Amino acid sequence: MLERYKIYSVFDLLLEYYNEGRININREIHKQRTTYHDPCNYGRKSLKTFGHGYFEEGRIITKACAPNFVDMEPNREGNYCCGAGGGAWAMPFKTERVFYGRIKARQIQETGAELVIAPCHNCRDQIKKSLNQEYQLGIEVKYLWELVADSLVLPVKN
Amino acid sequence: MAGTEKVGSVTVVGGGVAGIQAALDLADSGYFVYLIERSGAIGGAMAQLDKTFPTNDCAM
Amino acid sequence: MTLCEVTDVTGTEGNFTVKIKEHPRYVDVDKCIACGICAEKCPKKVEDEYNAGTAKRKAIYVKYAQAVPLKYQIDPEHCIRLNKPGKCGFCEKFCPSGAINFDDKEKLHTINVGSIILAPGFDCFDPKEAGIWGYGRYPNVITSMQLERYLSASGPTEGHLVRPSDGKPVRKMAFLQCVGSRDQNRCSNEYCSSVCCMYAIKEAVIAKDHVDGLDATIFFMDMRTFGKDFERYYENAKTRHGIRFVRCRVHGVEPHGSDGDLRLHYINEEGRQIEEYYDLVVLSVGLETPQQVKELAAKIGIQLTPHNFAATSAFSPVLTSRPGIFTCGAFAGPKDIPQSVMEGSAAAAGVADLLAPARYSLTQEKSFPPERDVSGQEPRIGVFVCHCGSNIAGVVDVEAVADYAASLPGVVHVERNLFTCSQDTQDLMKKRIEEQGLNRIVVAACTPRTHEPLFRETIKAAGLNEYLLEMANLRNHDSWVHSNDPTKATEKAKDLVRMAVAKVALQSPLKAESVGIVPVALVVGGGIAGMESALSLADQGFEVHLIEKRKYLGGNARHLNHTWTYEDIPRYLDGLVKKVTENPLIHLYLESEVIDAKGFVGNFVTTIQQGGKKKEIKHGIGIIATGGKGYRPEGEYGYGEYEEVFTAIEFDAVKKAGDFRVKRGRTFVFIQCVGSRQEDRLYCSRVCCTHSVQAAIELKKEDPSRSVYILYRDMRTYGQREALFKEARMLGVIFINYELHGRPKVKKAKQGLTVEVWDHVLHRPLIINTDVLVLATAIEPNPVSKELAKLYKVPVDSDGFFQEAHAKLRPVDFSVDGLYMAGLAHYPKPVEEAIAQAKAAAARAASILSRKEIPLEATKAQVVLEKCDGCGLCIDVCPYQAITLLEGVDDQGHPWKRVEINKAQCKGCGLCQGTCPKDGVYVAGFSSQQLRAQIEAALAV
Repeated sequence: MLERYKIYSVFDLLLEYYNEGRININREIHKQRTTYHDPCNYGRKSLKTFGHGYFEEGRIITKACAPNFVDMEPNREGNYCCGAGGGAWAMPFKTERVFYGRIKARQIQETGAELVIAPCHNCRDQIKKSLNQEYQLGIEVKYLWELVADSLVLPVKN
Repeated sequence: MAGTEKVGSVTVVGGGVAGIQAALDLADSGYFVYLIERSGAIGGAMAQLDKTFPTNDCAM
Repeated sequence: MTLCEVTDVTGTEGNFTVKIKEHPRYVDVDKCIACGICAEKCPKKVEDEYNAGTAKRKAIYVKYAQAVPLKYQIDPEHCIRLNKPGKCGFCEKFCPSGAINFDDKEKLHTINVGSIILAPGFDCFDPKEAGIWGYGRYPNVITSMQLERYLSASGPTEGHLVRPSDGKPVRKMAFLQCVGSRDQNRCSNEYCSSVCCMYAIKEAVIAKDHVDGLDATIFFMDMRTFGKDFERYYENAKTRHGIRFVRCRVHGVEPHGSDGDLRLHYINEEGRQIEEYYDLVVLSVGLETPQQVKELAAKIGIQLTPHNFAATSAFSPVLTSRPGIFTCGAFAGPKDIPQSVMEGSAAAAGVADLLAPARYSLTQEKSFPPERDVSGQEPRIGVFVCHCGSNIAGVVDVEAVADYAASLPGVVHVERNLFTCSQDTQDLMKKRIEEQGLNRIVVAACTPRTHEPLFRETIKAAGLNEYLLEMANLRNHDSWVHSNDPTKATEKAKDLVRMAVAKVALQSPLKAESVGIVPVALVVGGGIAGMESALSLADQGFEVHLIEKRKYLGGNARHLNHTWTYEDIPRYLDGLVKKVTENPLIHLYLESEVIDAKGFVGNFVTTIQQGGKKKEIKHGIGIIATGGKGYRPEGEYGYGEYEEVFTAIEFDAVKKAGDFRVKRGRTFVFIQCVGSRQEDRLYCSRVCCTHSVQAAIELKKEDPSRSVYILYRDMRTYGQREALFKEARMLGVIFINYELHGRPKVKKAKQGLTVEVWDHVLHRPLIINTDVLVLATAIEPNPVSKELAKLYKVPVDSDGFFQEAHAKLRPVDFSVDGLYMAGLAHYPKPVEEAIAQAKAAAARAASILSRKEIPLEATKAQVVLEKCDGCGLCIDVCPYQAITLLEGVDDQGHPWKRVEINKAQCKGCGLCQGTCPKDGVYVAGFSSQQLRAQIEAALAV
């Protein structure tokens, strides 16, 4: 079955659509300073397990949609965990989870970004629904596909 | 096969502190030494050091 | 031969053909006088490799100001003229000696040699790839090599420690250890680079010297200060210099704000999360084999270890896998300077063994014209005043000094030179001496420390006795230190020249004496070090007397089973003993002791006692290899009290014998540093961590269900031994760190013993119920060392080990010429290092024994027979014991007394001359008459 169907991640898909020109991006929509969060699973874990970590793909797409881009420090493989992984988001240990996320919150603050792209749903929830309030970050958080969707130039109907 | 006679000269590859010491000892003992160094001057990494333990001598 | 690379090696040991590629220098070395004008005019700036990327140099450059050879070179990659013919070429236009040659070509050389030594060194690990430390991104993260350049007075900031980002002073700095070493995650260098712990401490201490109140912290996993005097230095760094040591591997460096500050986020030893901010973070980078060296090794068949270092056997530590090719230094495994120097000498010994029959076959003696007799002549002094480019002339009015010199009594010729040290000026000096009949020379230039030999050789080549020379230092003593007052500097220059003229006028020609050498060696101690050095010297063709106190040879090695590379020691030892006993050139004296010693280099006489009989042995050099002994920790950790407690050596023996306590043992505990690294023995015994780890691995391999614990203070499995530490951890050996203030407590239990130790991870005391307790005890020097030291008048350090002449550059020599040391007597070390040191001692000794006589410097003390009355005051002050009192009765029956100088031991320090109340002794070349004339000249206006 694996030979019949092409199986790949949303990163690969979006990048393919973008490179092939199947989608058009309006770069005027997201002009605010934007940063990118490297999720543990897609990044470090994927690198260790499969030999490939998704660091560059998300950045290429993000920069294409939001040109005013700044990286967190450290980034890519060395980027900090959002604090809510491993089930921490769903579990009742809220205080701990928020404490773990303090470093991510500071990282975001230090970039001065207004928009954070979090490609993983767990990370996005932690950052958008928890860290943003607890640490008063005043940011907007979007999924990677959400950023692309919001930036699409829709084809004109004939 | 070349002559079985032993040639009384030596090549030391590398002009750092180990190579220099070997070259000096050999020359003092009566062997002709070719000291080969890749860069423009001998001294190696030790020449880049500021001071050495324990006497705080300059590494030069 | 600089700018050269070896491209191929063919042949066999004794007869190799080496192909060498010489890259073009584009500068004629015979013409270049290193004036530096070319670099001044060159418009192209390039990153300076010597300064580790912290500064820029020009496309035409000299590696550094003290380079040997001090000649410039052009970098063909960046030179404008070489890449675009017709452009630039400024250097050629401005060079005063026409040394630039853009048409220089690559040359190929083929040489025929008997042996090869590979000493290509190392490259520092480049931390840029592993972005986690921010190297290359955050300007205030630097490598240790860059720090050396920043701290150096000749570096880009002249030794001022400032932040690279903004030039502000550094107030807080951190060192991160093991960057590029002991790391399979960020790089593939799993080994320990051996030197970084020590160099980080040194750099921190020096940095604190440079900056008052500097805060320096070193973050480490294990502090590996296992070398001689290193442990003491570590303690002093903590207590006296206030350097902070934190046992933690910091995962990375982050920027703090945008001003260049850095943030370190780590967990301290108590388990608390700490965040600290620093001005400067220094990465202690490891050593690795350069890529082109790996390629050369592959090409010429040199086997490498998995870590890309030269593969050698523990029993021939400087021989590569290709016979006839030796190696030394960092290529044979990361190591520090003393080890590298020792190995350099050891490699020389290896070569000398091989090529002994060909000694002196290709060397040439320098020849000089016969010396002109100047006795009875009036002094005809020639003064050469140097401009030294602008070094002197930029401050001192050289013309005025020259004019003044011409007016001095005895001076018949004065000349000014741009660079007196240049080759063409040497030819000029020779010409002047001959045409003007000059018989005394004054060179008013720079320092005799570097240039006196050059000028001595020049006048010798002109037929003058080489001692008829005096230098006036117008550079170090004048222009360099009085650059802010040219008028006074010029006056001082005139004074200095006047003093030099006054002294040299009274100089007589001196004859250098030489002493004959007895081509026989004496080795005290028949352990591995003693035997290896004896064999090496015998193989080189010298007669050796080997003295051993016991009934048998082998010493401490008889207790050992294998090296860290698992090579068989007993088999090697038996082979070694056989070789020694069967060698016709080695005279073996068992059950013998040294009871008296006298003499000096080339001419020692040692008296030994064997079975009540005394024997005098005349020898030219001596090697002391008296070994060490194991510390017996009576009363510590239950040793001697409980039967389950053994020292490491005892445990090995007991295990080998199949003792049931070990065979059936389920739990084993090793305690490291018993007796070492504490107040009464503030040194590291170097071999114990490796030894315990190997014992633990063996126990686990025999029965993986056993529990094995190693209680340590710092795990010192240095260099490539790190692999053993990893293997032990993988097999499940548990390592627990303890500190001096919380030593493990041992008690008797119903079955076996309990060992209580504070676990540094769990933060609670752990009680281990163990069947066997092994104590890794200290190695102490042989108590006989102190006695022997008195007999040979050699120094012993505060720990009882023999003191070498220079910790780094002369690690096997005693400060007394002609005496050398090797093995445990010098400092605890493993078998392979003892062998290397033994060979090194043999090489150093051979460099004396292979000569018929040793020429001595002529500036030695001379007795004035008419004035000396044998009061003997000088005897007490001589630091080299070179003066003896002679007494006798003359033909009239009158007793006489006078002193005699041993020219070989005398170093010409002059203390005797300063002490003598009768002008009865003086140092040749510095007679009281000369010194008085110099002083009067100095005081004259």
